[in-house]
Amino acid sequence: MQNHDEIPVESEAESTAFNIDYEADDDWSNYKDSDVMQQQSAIFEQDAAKFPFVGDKEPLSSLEAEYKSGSPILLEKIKVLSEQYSAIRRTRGDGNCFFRSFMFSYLEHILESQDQAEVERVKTNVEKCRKTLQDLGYADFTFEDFFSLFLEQLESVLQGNDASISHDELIVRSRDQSVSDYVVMFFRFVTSGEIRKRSEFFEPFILGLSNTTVEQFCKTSVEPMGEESDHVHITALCDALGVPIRVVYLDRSSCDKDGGVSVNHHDFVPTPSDGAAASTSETGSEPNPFIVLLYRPGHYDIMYKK
Amino acid sequence: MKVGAQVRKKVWDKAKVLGENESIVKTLGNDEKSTVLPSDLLFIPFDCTPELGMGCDELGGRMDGRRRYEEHNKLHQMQASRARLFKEYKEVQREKVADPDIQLVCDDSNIFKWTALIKGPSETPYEGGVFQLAFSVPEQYPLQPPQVRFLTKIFHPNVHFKTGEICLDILKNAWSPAWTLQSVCRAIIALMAHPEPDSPLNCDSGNLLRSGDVRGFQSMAKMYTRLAAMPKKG
Repeated sequence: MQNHDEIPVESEAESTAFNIDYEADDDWSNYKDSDVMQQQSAIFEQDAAKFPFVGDKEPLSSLEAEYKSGSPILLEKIKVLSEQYSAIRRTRGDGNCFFRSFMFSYLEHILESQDQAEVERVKTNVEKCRKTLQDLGYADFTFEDFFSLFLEQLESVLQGNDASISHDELIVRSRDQSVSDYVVMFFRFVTSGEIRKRSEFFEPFILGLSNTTVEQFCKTSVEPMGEESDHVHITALCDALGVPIRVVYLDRSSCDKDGGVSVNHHDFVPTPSDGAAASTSETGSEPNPFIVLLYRPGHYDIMYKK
Repeated sequence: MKVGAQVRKKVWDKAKVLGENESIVKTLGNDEKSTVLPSDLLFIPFDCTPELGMGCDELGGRMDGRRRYEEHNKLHQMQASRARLFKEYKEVQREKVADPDIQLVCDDSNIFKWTALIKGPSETPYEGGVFQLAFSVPEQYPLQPPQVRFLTKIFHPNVHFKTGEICLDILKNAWSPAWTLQSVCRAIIALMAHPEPDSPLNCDSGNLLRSGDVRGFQSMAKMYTRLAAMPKKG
């Protein structure tokens, strides 16, 4: 009944099909994109061997040493910083540094404070984010693995259950790609969902940043790993999870106040979308975020208050 | 039904039959078979750690710490990607009816190898053609994109004429785990309908479009569709 000669996809062996054994020779035109990508990931791996996703806690003097022969303004600013901050923890500059810094800083805070109420609060928000993604039409299986891995980490930093982990183990996990990247991706999903849910609010900021639509921005600048974060990402993540974030800016701008050098910072405080988070953010007149990140143009690291 | 549509349907049915014969598309058009999972899908649960005796200890006696760690990492990632692909497999079975332009099939013995048959979009030179794609899924999936290429020859600015490699941002730096094998197929169909001649992999094809010779491009593309993606006229 069926005449095989007529069948279209069987043409593998014929001249019209691609030759699978095709070998790239020295001609540049024969280099495949996948070769380029492989080379690129090989370079990343080389860098990776040099510095872990999350570094060790270092005294602020190590930051000073970095700029020893650099700009006097920066040295002056580091001096100002050292009045308030005692240590820095560096993260790898792989485009995920904001999310990675946030991840470690947040989990470390929970581990040290054992703040059950905060965990319950953030869990409620995580479930809201799940709902947001579902409403936006994301298939559950595309994001649920990332959600459950984050919730697992959250559970494990709380002490007194079977899954509890030590501070050392938290560091090990944060350096383990299969945990660390999954949590980073979880934050990317949460951020993207928040931006798309409130696209009217974010649209003007995104237009100013990249001149694309909200959807395009999320697809190209939020969801892919390695895409750097800007204030849009930070605002969205902060709002979605209801976690305030302080960003301290270390750059060469001289912001003179009364003749001296001061260091700019910006507090990202969650805006309650439905009143639920209102109680936490309106209690104090001075917000005091427990997550503090140091921003140097193009990179975020974790800061420790004195 | 228009004659063209009838012919297309015939071609498509043929492709299905072929699929069965070729065991590429075993699960197509046979509901009983579709519930049978490829043997490779007996996946290891995500949370199964090497400590439970399934990991690096078996992989090679004494390893130094770093290698041990890398093996552990690799194993963990493979379990995660396998679990994810398993979910996609079930989703594909469910979506079969919803997306008749895409027939996505997992290899019988290897869940990291997939094949797809996609229909050339209508009102394009690819209309009436059935194109075969080969997926090779990396162990880091879904953090890393699948590698996809055309097995069927196609004349398109963003597809390498010799290798079938596809130039599409979501398969490169714009990849995210929000994409699925199914939605990648949809994106490739969209690329077929909307070529981007400014970043060509096939320069001849790109140049035709860039110089405004739409007719020239279409006739070339149509010719290759007929030669490679359609049944020959008997």
